[in-house]
Amino acid sequence: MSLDRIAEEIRACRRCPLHRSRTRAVPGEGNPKARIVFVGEAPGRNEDLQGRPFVGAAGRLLTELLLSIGLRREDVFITNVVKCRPPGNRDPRPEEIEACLPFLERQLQLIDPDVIVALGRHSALTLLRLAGREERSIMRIRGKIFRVELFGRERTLMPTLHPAAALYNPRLRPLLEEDFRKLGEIVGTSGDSGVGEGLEPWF
Amino acid sequence: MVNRVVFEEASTLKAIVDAVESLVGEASIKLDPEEGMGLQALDPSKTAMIQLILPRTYFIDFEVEKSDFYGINFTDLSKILKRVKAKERVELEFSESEMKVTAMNGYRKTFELPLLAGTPFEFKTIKVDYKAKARLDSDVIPNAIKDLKIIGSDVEIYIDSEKVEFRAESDKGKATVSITKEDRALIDVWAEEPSKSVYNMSYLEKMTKPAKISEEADLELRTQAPLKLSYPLGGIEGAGITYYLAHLQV
Repeated sequence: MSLDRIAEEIRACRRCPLHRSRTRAVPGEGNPKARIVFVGEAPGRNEDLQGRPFVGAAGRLLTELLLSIGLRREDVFITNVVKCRPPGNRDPRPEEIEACLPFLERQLQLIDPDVIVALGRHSALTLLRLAGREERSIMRIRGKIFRVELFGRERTLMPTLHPAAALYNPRLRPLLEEDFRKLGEIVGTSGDSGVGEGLEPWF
Repeated sequence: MVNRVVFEEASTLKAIVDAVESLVGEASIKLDPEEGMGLQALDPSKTAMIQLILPRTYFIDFEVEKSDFYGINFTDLSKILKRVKAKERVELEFSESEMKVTAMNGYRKTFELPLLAGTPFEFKTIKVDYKAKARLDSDVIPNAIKDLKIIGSDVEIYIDSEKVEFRAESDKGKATVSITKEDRALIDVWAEEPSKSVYNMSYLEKMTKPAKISEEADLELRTQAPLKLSYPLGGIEGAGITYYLAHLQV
């Protein structure tokens, strides 16, 4: 079983009504051997049109946040809990999450990451539930480091805000940046990643 | 005390605000009776920096009595300027706590924005001894990015004494945009030694916004060093926008 095969299944999937309104399913993309996987909630309009995750404004912010801790998109794997766009960008429904979850589980098993970053409430609560923890508020758990047993071994799970939330409410952006700085410390990439150390050493 | 500056056409201010806003939401500008207007902003990831210098002669009216720094929410200012047409005259008035934006085109539109605490700054210089430089038609770079984006997310820029190349490579294939001395789009090129470095494409794309208001762009390069990209403005000595972009270590 490969990630490409799972992607093919996702593109052909009719497990929930979202397949009727989608333009393209969005299986996810990135390094198949990534140490870090980012899991968003569901594709938006741009993602639905292109069949790629995080390609709109929220995607640009995610790319910047990754660069800020010395990571490029191609260093990590990026996907969503729900692989098809809910109409009008509404929240994914519980039955849609349940129908789609096996795809995410198989992707995570195959990639076998050390660190999973949950972007947004639905992603965070779903992944924590998979690890046997019930939480309700993203603001209470964002930026916290959870050591969880997932798919046969211990992994690090860090919930944070969805980048789109920080675009909608710029006051949330410092929180998101703070969480990414913490992520950079966990994965040891800050300033030493092959991406460079930014401009500071040149001043 | 109120400091006041007037742009003959809103198009310049719109492009400047657009350029700053794409890197940072908030930044401080400096108004100085002798130096004119200055701005410096480093993006949160410290990957890119923008510097703006507009000498007082750039403005059709420049009434500044005392040097001061003003913090501006560029996201909000950008929204306001979307309601202003490119040819309209725009006046900015700075009081202690607010900035008044007045657009004039037959009638007046006024917006008042609260000012943020201004952070004093000195212009930083990047310590790079650049080994290659090219002056290009400014629209070459955004067009090259549109081409290369089809292939990859990073761009390698190469300059030698004969040409400038923009290259991208990924598992989707390879793309090269080459501009040689024979091409009209390459106005001038100089290289002490052939130089190349790789940069993030989405950042470089943000840095092409001033191409709307400047006909020429200067690229300065050194292997494995930050890129310097400058846009002269309005044919006025010293007026311009300069970007620095950290290279990727590949």
